[in-house]
Amino acid sequence: MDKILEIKGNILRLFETNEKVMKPLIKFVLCFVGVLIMGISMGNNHILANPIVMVVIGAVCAFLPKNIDVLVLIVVLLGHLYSFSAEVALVALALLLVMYFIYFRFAPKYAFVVILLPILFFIKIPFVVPLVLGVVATPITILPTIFGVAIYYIIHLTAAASGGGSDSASLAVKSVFANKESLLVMVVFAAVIIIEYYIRRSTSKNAPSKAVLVGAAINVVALLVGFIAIGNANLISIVFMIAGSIISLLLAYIIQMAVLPLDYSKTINTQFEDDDYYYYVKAVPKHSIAKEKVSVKKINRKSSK
Amino acid sequence: MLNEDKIKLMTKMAMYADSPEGKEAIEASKFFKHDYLARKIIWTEICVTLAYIFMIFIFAILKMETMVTDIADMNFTSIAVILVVVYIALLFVFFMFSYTFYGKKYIKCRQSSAEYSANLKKLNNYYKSESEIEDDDVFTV
Repeated sequence: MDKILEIKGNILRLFETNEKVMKPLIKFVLCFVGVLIMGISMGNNHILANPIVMVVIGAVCAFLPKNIDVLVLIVVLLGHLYSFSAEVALVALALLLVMYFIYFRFAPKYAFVVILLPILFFIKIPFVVPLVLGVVATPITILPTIFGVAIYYIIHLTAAASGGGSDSASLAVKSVFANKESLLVMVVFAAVIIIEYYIRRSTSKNAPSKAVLVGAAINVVALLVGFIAIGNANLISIVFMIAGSIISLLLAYIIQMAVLPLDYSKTINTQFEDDDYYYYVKAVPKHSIAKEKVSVKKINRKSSK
Repeated sequence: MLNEDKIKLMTKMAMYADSPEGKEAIEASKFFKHDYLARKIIWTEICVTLAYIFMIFIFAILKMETMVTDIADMNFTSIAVILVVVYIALLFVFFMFSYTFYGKKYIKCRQSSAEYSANLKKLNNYYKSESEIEDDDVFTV
């Protein structure tokens, strides 16, 4: 465990010394990958699915604030949906606006979950989100999780159907509110977040790790039973679900163990003035990760006087 | 001559004022609690109204087929009454929620900005003592 913390501390120091390069680079990679996955999975809009456009979007997002990046990704998602059906895009937009007006005004911190979930659904590892949120956040994050699932199922089920028009809008809404599979996934994700939250808050040793393991187990069992009950169980989807759950469990375990315990305080640049001087100040946080104690055995020849 | 203690104090204050928590706390400290709550609650109710309009839009799409086939038999009065009652209930729920949420937030902001206010006073004392020293120098010369 100490070794992991030491490695993590070294990575953080590397990040802090090269923050001006690392931060935009990481944001570029995340945004580019998000746009790429949407382009490959949806690909209705030829402009947005163009690799050069994707690179440009990633490059622009690298220098924008986090919440604006989320907005850009949402616009890309709606752009793809609009190319398929304007009515479906309108329904998705209405859902996102409802989410914004009733939730994100109070808690904008986890707004990115709404766009992250559909992207992770496309690569079959959506279970990471509830597993991680259960240990890092409060149960209120159930709301953006549910809306993220809703957005995915709107895309997934309307894309499977053909044509546009008012039928697709109706299908889009029914794919969320009248679809047993989407309701099952929402309920299971919500249950995982709540159960993990209460396990994490317990005083037992390694409570977050236990919470992730229990959450993953509940996720697999509940979804498996649920899919069988609603008659959606086929071998391929079960295999994908179990494989996705295992990968999600590993990712969530690494995130909660290696990333979260750190209280990352980034380098802060500030400036101010008084009557005599202008001050340009750079505050760099100290890290107190104890380095491995190395005992060196010295063998010296005794000096005779 | 640079006064290191003063610079450390100003740095700490600048970092706080630039942080999201600091910006929020300084903004909240400009208002009395009632005024702060009133602004937030009014804006929340406007947002809830807009959200409700979109929810009705989504619900209408969900029930579009039923509405088109049974439009002649629909009791519009009862539908309107239900919509109004749900709207009022929603407004009330969000009123209570935002009153509690922003009330706690205001208290948290005031506690957070208390240290900033104390530092402001310290900084003011530094300026006063510096101007006293300058005045003494003037008289000495």
